[in-house]
Amino acid sequence: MRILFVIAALLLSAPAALAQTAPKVIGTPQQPQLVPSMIVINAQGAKIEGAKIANQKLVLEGVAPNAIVFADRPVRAAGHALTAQLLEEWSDSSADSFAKNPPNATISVMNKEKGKVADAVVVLKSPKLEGERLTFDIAVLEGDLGKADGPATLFIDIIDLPVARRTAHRSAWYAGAK
Amino acid sequence: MILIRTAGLLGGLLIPALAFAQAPAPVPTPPNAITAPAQKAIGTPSARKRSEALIVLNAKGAALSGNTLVLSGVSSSAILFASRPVRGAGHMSLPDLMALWSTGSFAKDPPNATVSAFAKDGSKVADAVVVLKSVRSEGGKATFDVAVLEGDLANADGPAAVFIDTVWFSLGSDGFNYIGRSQTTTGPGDPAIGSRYDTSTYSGWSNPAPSATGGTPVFRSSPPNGNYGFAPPPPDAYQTNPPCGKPPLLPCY
Repeated sequence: MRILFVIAALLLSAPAALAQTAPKVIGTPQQPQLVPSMIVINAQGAKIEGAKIANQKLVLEGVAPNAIVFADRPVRAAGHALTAQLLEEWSDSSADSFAKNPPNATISVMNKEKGKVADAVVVLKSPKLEGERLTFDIAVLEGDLGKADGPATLFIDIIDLPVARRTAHRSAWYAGAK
Repeated sequence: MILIRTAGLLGGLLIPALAFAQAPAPVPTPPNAITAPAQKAIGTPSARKRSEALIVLNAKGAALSGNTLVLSGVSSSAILFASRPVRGAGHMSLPDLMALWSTGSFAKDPPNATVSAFAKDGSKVADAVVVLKSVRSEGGKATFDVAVLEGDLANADGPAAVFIDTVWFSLGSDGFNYIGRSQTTTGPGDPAIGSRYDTSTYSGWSNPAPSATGGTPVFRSSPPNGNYGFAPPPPDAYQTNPPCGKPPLLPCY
């Protein structure tokens, strides 16, 4: 009985499919769907606040208004996106959003004294942008920033979260030399 | 009766059509780097086969007038990104980067770059391809002497980025760098940078980076026990007596 229904449904739907005139492209989207694999945010300085493991914050001062994005797929490309728009990745409710699946990142801070650097690996949650101050709730996985006082860079490696993110649609992208 | 109804229908259809015809036709916006991503190559692709690192500098604004490019509110460190020999990223301080134009490899071989600037709301983007001939900086401003090869920045008043794709400078040369979680180099061969077969696939990352094997650490600033255990990068040419010659070697001075 169920099989009959299925056959009937197939027969009914067949003319609709046949009536379509425009050919559909198999598998490939019309535009390259660039998949960001790394996001980099520059700032004038960074520090980790809060002594308790459960209540730590990463504070980026003088954060750049645009973030740099890199893609390895389908082509190697680099681009930039507005930082404010990038942070919307954390407010999205989809399964791959940074709210549900907070990304790991390395925060690297130079010292004003030449040739020294401090870094930490953290999990980034709930960003807050106030003016040029960007704050994340974090869990520190390893390392610590000590008293590093120079420019800071936050590397968010999302190569194992290969999703065409909404940031990618708003970014300006340029291909790497071939 | 049917005729009248059809005429009425047609009339109903015609009136909005006429009204639409009288309105000025919408001006189509030309494709830019947001609507047509990764169509433009950074700098101008030459016969170059490999690229060691992308250098990216970001700023709060960029203005291109004549042969001068001014970056205002320029960030104090530049970002480096490499796909090979291992996928990695790093940063270096602005003075270190600027030294490349006075004493480094950019002194004799000024790099091409793409300058890209957003409109304030991020809806539009303008870009230009330039040769970066020299640089000076003061008070959060970096000024480049440039030769414009293509494009202009028009009225883009938002955040800007300068992308430099170079063979002469690689990760490990200077600054601080980290090895990413996956690498795109597949082995002893020389994969093409634009080739989709030499990068990852949706089903997985067949070529894990050395730092992925241990589990938690995302990046590593130095190899474990001085050994990656997997596809070690070639020795850094800049650290000890660099060999020079044709690419991929450094230029001889």
